Amino acid sequence: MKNVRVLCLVAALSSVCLPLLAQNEERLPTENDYYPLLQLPIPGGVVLEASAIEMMPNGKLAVASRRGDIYLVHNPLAATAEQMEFSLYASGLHEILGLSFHDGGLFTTQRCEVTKIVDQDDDDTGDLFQTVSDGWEINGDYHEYAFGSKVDKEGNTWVVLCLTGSFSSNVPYRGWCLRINKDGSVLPTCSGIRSPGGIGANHLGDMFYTDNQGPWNGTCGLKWLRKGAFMGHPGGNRWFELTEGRVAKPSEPASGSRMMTEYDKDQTLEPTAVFFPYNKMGKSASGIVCDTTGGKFGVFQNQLFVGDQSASTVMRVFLEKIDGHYQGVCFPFREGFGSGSLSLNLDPSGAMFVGGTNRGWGSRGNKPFALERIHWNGKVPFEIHEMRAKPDGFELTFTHPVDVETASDLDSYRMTTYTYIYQSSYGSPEVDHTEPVIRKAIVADDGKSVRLVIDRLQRGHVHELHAAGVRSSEALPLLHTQAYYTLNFIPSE
Amino acid sequence: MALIVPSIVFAQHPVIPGHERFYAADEKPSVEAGLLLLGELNCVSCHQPDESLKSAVNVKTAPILDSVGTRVRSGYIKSFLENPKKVKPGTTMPDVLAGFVGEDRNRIVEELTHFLASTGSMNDSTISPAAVNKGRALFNTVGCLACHDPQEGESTSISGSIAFPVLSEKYTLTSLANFLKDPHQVRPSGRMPSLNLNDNEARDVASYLLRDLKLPDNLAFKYYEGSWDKLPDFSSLKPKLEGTTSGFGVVLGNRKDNFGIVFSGKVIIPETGEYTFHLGSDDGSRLLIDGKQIVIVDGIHPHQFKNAKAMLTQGEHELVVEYFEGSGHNSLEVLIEGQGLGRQSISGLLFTPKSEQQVESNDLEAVDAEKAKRGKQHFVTLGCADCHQLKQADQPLVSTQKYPSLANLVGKQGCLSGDERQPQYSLSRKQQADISMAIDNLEEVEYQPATADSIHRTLVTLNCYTCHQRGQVGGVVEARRDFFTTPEKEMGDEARIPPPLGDTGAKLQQPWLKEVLGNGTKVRPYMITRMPKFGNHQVEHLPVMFEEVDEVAQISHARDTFSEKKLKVSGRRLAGSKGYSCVKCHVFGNQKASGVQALSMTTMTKRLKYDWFHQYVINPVALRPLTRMPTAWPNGQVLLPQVLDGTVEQQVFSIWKYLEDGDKASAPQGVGQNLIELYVFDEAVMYRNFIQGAGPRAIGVGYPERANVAFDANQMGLALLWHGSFMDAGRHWTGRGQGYQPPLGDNVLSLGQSPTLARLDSREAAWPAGELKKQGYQFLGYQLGDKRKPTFFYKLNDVLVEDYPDPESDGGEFPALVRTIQLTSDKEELNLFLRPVVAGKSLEFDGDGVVTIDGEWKLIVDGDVGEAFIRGKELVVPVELKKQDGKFSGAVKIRYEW
Repeated sequence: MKNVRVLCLVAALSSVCLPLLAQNEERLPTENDYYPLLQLPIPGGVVLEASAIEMMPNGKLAVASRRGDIYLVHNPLAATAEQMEFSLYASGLHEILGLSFHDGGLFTTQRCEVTKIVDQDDDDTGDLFQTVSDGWEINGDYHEYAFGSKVDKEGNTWVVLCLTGSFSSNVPYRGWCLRINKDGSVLPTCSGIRSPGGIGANHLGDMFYTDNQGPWNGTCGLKWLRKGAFMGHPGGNRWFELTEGRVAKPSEPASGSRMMTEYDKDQTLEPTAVFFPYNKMGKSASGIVCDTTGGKFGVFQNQLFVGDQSASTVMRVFLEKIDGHYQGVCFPFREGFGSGSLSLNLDPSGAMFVGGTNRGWGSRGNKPFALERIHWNGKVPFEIHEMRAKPDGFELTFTHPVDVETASDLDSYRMTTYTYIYQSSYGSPEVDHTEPVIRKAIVADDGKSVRLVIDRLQRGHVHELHAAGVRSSEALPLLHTQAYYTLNFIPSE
Repeated sequence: MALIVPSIVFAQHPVIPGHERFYAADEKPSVEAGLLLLGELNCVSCHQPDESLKSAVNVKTAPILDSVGTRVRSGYIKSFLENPKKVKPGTTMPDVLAGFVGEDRNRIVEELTHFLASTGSMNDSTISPAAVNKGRALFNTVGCLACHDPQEGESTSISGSIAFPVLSEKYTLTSLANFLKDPHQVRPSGRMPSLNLNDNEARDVASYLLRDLKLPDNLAFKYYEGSWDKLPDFSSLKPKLEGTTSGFGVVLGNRKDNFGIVFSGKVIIPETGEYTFHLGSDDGSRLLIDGKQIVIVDGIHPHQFKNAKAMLTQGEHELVVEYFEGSGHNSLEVLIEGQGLGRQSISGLLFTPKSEQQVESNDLEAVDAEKAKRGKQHFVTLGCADCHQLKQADQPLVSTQKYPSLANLVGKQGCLSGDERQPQYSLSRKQQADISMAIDNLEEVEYQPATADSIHRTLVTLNCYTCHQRGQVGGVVEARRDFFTTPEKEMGDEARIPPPLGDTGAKLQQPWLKEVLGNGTKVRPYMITRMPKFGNHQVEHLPVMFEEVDEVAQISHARDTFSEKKLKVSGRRLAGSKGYSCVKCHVFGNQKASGVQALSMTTMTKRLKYDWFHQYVINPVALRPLTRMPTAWPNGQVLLPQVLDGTVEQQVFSIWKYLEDGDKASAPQGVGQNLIELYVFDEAVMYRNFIQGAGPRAIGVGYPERANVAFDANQMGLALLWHGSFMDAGRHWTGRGQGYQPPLGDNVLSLGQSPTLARLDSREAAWPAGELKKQGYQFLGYQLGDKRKPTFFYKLNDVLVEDYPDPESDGGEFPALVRTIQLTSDKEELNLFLRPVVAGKSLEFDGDGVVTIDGEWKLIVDGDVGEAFIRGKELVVPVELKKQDGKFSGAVKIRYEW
């Protein structure tokens, strides 16, 4: 009942209220003015806790559920929901958290194994379920999830394996990233994982995953699965012996320290590339996709989009590589998904599919499950496009030329910094706050970038920027004024 | 402080509940009543009965006085000895010193008091208001009011009630709590039964009964008024009131809402070490020790606890507790635990300033050794030792008094004579008459009365009748009915009034009856009143006696019309939501019912006798006129005629057979809140998940033929077979989905979690176990075929196995399952063996390749196999691969009939 009323209200606003408002004062644009949402028509009676999404070569969209079903959405790119249909492709699988079509089959990461599902008679149902590998163990604990990536160039599914609960690893490879080759071979790749929410590669094929706030994770973060690296949680370190020396064992981190302090002691640790500040950017980071659509999804080519289950959002991430490590910034991008955003898929045509569930973990979106599509309607929002670290500050680029007066006004910006305690107990408050001084804001000649010269940058800190005063040349404020840059390394030039 | 003086006029004669109820109003004196009094007043401690009479008198021994000084305040002992009837109205303790007057009497009382006080000392602790509230709720509901009067509110004493003295003058918190927890320790005759209170409950009830206890102030307080949603900075506020108080009571100012208090004092830590502090409050509070915050429960909330540990050195520490209350309930508890201290209120460790130590008390300041010595003399010479056990150095004191034996007593002499020098019992006229009647007619006493009368005697003596009715006798009196409560109001009186005992011996099995009587075991989740424990020696004769006299018609019907398997499947179905819906009201093990929460079905066959059960379920009101239990067979009509040929007897019998599996019985349909049944129609349905008995990598398959399997993909073997319903996915598809789920259907057969195929070096070699992947086993997946039935693939080194289970569709309820196992290898394979089953108990060859397992079910192996053999409980079958088209292969069929 409540939902219906909200929908009516929105309808009323757009048809009646807006013109009235427009006469008096300019209505500020919202996310919906650039990236509208469409609910996919999940048939009544189907519980589709959409946990993994993949576009099939025949143009149908495979959507897996936590209940172990895989549905096909026929005509998923149609303009309206009425033109779409659902059919059941496979069922009876175990909590699927990865789908990738490759080599004539659907590589499905379920709790117990990576399975290649083949539709042998082309009737849109899977017939052959080949175990690619079950090279890790499970033991009846719900927390022992397995998230699988899209298959990489070498034919590997990267699988990140949740710990047994928050602290421990009771059976082999809990807390690890394994590369499962399509030939069945298993390559232990990274240790130190706690509780992943998603996994995905950037445009270069470097693999990232999200890890969630908890022990050794002061807040949720995006982490680079650098081969051989330690991702920060020592819970799974007991399995190094099984790798027969193929992965170097890191030293035990000191609890109560800071991540960069521990990195300085042992570079096996890969510092979190982007912290998602707790509450401010959600509480449960999830799926990852990279925009490689060449402009079909807007102006964010090669940037990453990351879901947050608890806030029912999708965030945007810009990464750069400093001193051999990825680091970067996250921005809000789109909110208002129906359930807890978990799985993301971005089709080359520019349609982004977002699957959601809130079973077991609550979400701002109050539906038990949802499957939604965002598309870009061709209008470019006024956003901070990129934020790059400089030896003495940051460079911001914008999606539209800025208004020089506001963009060069120091009062248009506000910056604080903080970091998190790197510790064995659960989570961390923001600590070590500083207030750096923004000395200059220099607008480039083309008006598309601003150079912020800043005193006292803090290595290892999140630099939280609010650019509320900046206006575009068309006098619009930023659609999202805040940016959170994780400055692990300060570039020397 | 307000002394609680109940506005009740107490009886001046000794109150014996059974006498009050059954004999007091009857004008005719009775031998039976006299016998009761001879036991309850303990006449026979002094007046020895002969052996035969002993069995007819159930003696209520006087309280044991070993170390009474650790339990009872000296002030109380003194005033009680001075005037027993006044201090404890209705007491059975006679005034033994009636023969002494004036100074003499005072001196003897004084000396006895010193003597009794010399047996130990006691420590006070303060009463927490939160404990008083919890104790009030317990006292008023668990059964105390079956024998005692309510302690608050306007009411007159209920006939037969045992009155209390002013308990705060008698006990400390600890000593009363100890008594309540195990009353039989000092009163072994069980007249005051144990209500199975745990440590906390005993402390709470004691706190309630001692709520008027006034102790010296040990805390300073500042009281503030204001409206907050979390703890304010009290230092910046001005208190409305300041003073000192005892303990952490929060009713100090005028307000019940919107106030705050800061308590401060000193806590004396007995020993250096780590302590856990539990802080509980409604609303917020925090605890500081030596200026450092130890634990905080801030914000607005119902009574809520948090705890934290702290290292503290022995000695004094500054303690501050800040508290605020928004609105609604208010409470504050500060508890400490550790270094040998059980979890308890920290009040007992608070330092009491010297100036505050003066509180009115009649207790002795110190024991005078000389007086105590003389008191001990009185104890043995004046007859105290006749009734009261008091051991010193493990030896009871022995009375020097001599009395005439019971048989030599005459009518109205001695204690009954009215002579003021004799011990004064203050008997009522009727009591006197009854005792006289008994001692004048001892030869008429039935030493071995009929069993029914013996039972009656016990029920009168132990006052069982205050709760239970047996036949037309006893039961809860009108004045006490409201004290019996239930959370299941819908169930009516049945849920709150203890069960009638009229047919107990016909209804309950002996071991169960012993359990209930001996331990007060609680099975009725809806009944708040507890069955007490009277002590085994008081009740151990009852089960046999009940069985001897109570009768219910015997049921005879055929017990072998249907197989046990068929009966259990049918019984489970009938109990479930698609049958007669027993699960709607009856708890199943620890799983709640959806309606009222009636007795668990899993204990029924352990408790009840079949004959009674049979008649009860068919016509409940015939045996329990007031029950809300409906019948499934109204007027003998069978509502589910397709089950077991539609006969009432067989249907009842099937439920009984099913319930005989007790805790091991699979829950019927409709149990648990989140049934998500996976239905199987015309194609197979699969379910990969944590399946109980098939491991974390289980693959369940439900077939259209109503047979199901669970393949264990960790162990490479079929682990479970079952019939009927497939799986309930509710556990895994609701919430986070923790743990293992058993099959939903019936007739679950476990084949063991182990590989079906092995390569053995010899026929004796151990079957592979442990880490199978390292031994060459690998699961490879499955192919869906006809009706989407899977063929499982796995390998052992070079041997590829295709394993295809397929039920036979004979249309019956228990279809057999044929498992076709195809083996292929590029190499010649020797020493391959299949193990189709590991039996639970036994294996037997029946010829023609048929094997009977556990005497219950059959298995047939056929195909490219050598001679099967049995080793222990394993059935092992050699497999012979044949060369064909450059490959080695073989096929085996295993047929399971279970």
